[in-house]
Amino acid sequence: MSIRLKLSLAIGLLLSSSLLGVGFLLLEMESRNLRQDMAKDERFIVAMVRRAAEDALVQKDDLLLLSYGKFLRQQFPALEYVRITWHGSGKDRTYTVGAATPSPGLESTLLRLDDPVEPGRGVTLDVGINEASMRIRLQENIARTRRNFLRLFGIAVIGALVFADLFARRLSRPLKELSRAAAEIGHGKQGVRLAWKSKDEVGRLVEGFNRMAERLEELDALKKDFVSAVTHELRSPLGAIESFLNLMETKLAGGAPQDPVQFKAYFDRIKQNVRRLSGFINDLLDTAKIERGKMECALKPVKLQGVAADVVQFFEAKAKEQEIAITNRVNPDTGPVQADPERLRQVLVNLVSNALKFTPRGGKIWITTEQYRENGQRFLEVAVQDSGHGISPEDQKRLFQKFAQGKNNTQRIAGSHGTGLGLFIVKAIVEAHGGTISVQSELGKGTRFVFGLKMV
Amino acid sequence: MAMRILAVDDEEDYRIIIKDVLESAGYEVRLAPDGEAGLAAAKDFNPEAVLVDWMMPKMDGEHFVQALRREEPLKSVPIIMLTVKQTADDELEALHFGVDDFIVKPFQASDLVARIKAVVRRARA
Repeated sequence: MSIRLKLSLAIGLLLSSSLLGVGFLLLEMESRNLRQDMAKDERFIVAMVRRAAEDALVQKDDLLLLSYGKFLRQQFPALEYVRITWHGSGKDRTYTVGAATPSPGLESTLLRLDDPVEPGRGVTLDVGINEASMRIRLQENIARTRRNFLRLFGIAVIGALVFADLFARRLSRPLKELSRAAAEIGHGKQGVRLAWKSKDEVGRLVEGFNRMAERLEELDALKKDFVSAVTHELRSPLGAIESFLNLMETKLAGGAPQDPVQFKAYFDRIKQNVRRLSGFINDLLDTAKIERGKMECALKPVKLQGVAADVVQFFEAKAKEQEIAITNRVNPDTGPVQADPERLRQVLVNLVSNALKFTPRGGKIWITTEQYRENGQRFLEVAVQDSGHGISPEDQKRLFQKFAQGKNNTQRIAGSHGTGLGLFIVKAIVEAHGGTISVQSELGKGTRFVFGLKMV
Repeated sequence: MAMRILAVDDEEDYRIIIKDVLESAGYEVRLAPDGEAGLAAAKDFNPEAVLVDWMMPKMDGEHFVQALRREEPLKSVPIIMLTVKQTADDELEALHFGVDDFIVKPFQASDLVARIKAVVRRARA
């Protein structure tokens, strides 16, 4: 049974039952009123006859009372008869209005009035009211009221059902939409959003649903990025290696004498690609370690100066080729830091190689340090800075995420192949050392990566 | 006279391989590292066939092909896309934006030469 039907039935039932309850209460009160009215009518008739008789007695007008009796009988059909007996001057005179035939339910009331001035003169009234006929009229009235009530009740119930259905439809519509949208997302459809807006729980549910759909698409896009990054990073060096091998094989099969210098150059190319491939695989393994929470660093006192000098030397040839000056400005007197030397080297290699990628010819890269104290602990702040292209604020936000490469940069810089894992790993290593890493950059001016290490 | 071929690829490895393969086959080769440089080289070199990578910085293969197809003397030059993209959808997309043939990397030297000969023969017919 659908929610709409359930709600309709529940609301309809509730409205109908309360209407029925209130209706019966009203009907009961109306019947009581009618019954009271009947009793009142009875007393009223008798009182009227009495008043008329008093007047007639004072005015000595027999006819007045008689005509009044006739008038009352016309007004009140329940007044079966009025028998008037005048007393005085010896003999009694009796007039009867209506027929005094005894019948069941006939109630007679006897009244005796005396003339206050003339003793002995008076009038006796016998008022006969047919209660049975009154009761029949009462029953008729009650029955009519009940019929009216039932008619109204019927209309009200139909109205209540229509209202309940509209209400239920309004309530259940977003739920229906939600289930439809959820089914669509379940089938892999993208861009499914609901436009429903309300300030109640359903509105919040729809809001949450939309957020969820958005997040799902982000994750999906991330997964696609991951797959395409991994595929590209694996396939392009492998493809290059295979192409070189094919080429060399073809040349050797041709039987012509080969140029050893050219073959040496091809071997170097193959070697480079193998290194690139193994570097990427190491990055993937590191990433898997980080994901498992197993990025462990064996900390021991390390002189940063030595590691930095080593890294600068490692990039010397490449920097010269790109006409970029790398300087190690770490003070040789700086005390040792708590670090894993291999991991620290990895951080610096990553940051410097990034800087090399995004710094144009004639640019500069430098490594600097500064000591500071926090809560009694001495720290060394290490900065790798370049005079390169800079990173847009938008890219800065996603810089340390997996496979997040700066969109603007990769499009502009030739040969800037990266795995998109470098900074993710760098961040994890710095954090495993108990530090944090941050970036300051301005487009066109350069970039500065800063991280802190505890000093011994 | 040797046939003039322009090869546009951002990866130096492939530039080296293509140059070697095509020069061994007796062609005259010009190389460019991205779409922008490729377009400039095409105007200057007036190639008889063009090899182009898809994913490149500055100007990718798709934009390069579209730009080349608007250049009056070059608009009907045969273009072969040489890419690591390898699905049937990728190939269809490339054919739609204007390439004449599609080769998946890594490739065989003989395959590359045969396909260049085929597109040039079709273009001249």
